[in-house]
Amino acid sequence: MSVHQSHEASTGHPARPRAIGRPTHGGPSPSSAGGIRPRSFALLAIALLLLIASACAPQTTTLIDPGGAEVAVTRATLRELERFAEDEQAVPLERVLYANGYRLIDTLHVVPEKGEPLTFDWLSVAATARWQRNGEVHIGEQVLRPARIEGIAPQMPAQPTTGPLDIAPTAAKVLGLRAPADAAGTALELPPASRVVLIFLDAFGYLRYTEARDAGLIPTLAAFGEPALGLTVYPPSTAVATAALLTGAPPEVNSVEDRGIRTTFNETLFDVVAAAGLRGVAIEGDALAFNMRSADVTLSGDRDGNGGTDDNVLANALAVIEAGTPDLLWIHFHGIDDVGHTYGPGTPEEEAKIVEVDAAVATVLAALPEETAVLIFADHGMHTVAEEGRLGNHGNLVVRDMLVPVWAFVK
Amino acid sequence: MKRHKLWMFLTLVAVLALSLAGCGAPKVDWTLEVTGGSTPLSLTYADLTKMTQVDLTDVLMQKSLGEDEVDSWSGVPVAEIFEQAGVQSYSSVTAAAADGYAVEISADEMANAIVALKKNDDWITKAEPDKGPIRLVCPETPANRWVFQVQQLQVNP
Repeated sequence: MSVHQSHEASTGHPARPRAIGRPTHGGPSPSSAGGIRPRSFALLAIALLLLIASACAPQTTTLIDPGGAEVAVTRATLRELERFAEDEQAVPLERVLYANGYRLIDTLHVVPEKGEPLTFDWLSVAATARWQRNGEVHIGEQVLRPARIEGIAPQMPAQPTTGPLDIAPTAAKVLGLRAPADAAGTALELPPASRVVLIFLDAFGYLRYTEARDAGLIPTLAAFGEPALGLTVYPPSTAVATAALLTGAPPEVNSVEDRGIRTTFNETLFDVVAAAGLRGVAIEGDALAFNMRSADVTLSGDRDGNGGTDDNVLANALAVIEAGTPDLLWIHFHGIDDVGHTYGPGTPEEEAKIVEVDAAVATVLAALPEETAVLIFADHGMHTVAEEGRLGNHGNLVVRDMLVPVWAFVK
Repeated sequence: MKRHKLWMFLTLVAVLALSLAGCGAPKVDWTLEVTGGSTPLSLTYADLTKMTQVDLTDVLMQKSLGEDEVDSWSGVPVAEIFEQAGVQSYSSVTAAAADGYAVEISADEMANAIVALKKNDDWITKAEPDKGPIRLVCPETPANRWVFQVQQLQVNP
């Protein structure tokens, strides 16, 4: 919104007194040689200036934040988020929503400057919705100039009580150590234990857990009882969640704010463990998606060529446990994510992988010594997509991606 | 007139010298460690430039988004490096990068791999400095095997 003031008013100069005795009728004024009267010329110039000013005035969209407050989104807002832009012209709309407090979105209401209000199913449009530098918002096939945008949160049976930030403080507390320096999470309550095992179920979101439980696919996990409902970090992806899991700090603090960043310079749980003279071991799949500094890392490639690495992860984990369970053991099963991307969640292939991982968890649990604290969690969930090369994906502020189960107990 | 010819000659010499200078390998401080064989190797960038170079034309790199990439690469066959390192047979190779990334690659996937110094005829260190100076190229495999800024090849029995 812009306010136009007269030059006099804006500079504080008093308005000039009107000329007295100036002819108003009859005969051309001395300066109107071309036949245009000075007053008409001035009015025309002012109208032209107003037109130019209105065209140049920064466009503002009112965003209603999750608390109901009105927030003005301007070009300056978009400039602050440019580091997340996939090209120079557009910022993902979801980044704007996240920066203004949104964590879960079910539908998006948009009131355009012209035309009827629109409602979008966020799951369907989140991945491609963009806010253009020129003020346009592209959602699905629509190109809009919104006056007002509001996200509607999904109806939830319960509110999340935990998340990735709580894992490092919990593990540190069990080991009698301080949390990593920038940890913002809270340690979960656990009975005393001698060591900690972190079992990382990649892409096993909370909704997928409930569906698998109800379908009888996960007897091991179901026997642990109802997990705590966790809200993961944004964007829900392995690297971003891993940094949050290791540091206990949110992405804005640990600087891993997007996929493709593989290192955090903030102190990690493994740093704390190593500094205390304790032993931390990480068993990963074929690729180390994130820099596990200070950990003794074992990769688990598909050496048997069966198309998956979870059996190799299990074998390596069992070998480590048999040789003497370390103070901190991180076991990362990637299979549900790999198969979910390829075939999509809820498919027979993905369900078979969930069954396999559940059985692997049972085998690990059976091998662990008593007095071992066990934390089982996911980094993110996954939703169905129909894209070339993949049928499942994650990365959006939707229930299927953002909600994760967290189990914490002592064997 | 004589002076004119002299200037032409000098210009030609300068152009020729500059062209030849451009053909040489860039000077880069980089070392590739090869472990797990009978002879651990520590190969500098200069060492790699002096080894047998092969060209892989229009090679497919599989990307998860379905946006597969096809490029041409030139570099040293991993098989030759392994021969120097005294590697007889192996089940997999763990390739580690400068940024801490690592991936275990099966022997089958490594079969035609090269340590690339050039991409599409350009030195990687100049064309894509953030992904150079060398890159492990594993034809017809997923992109996470194509380790850029590779620093170590650990051969697993």
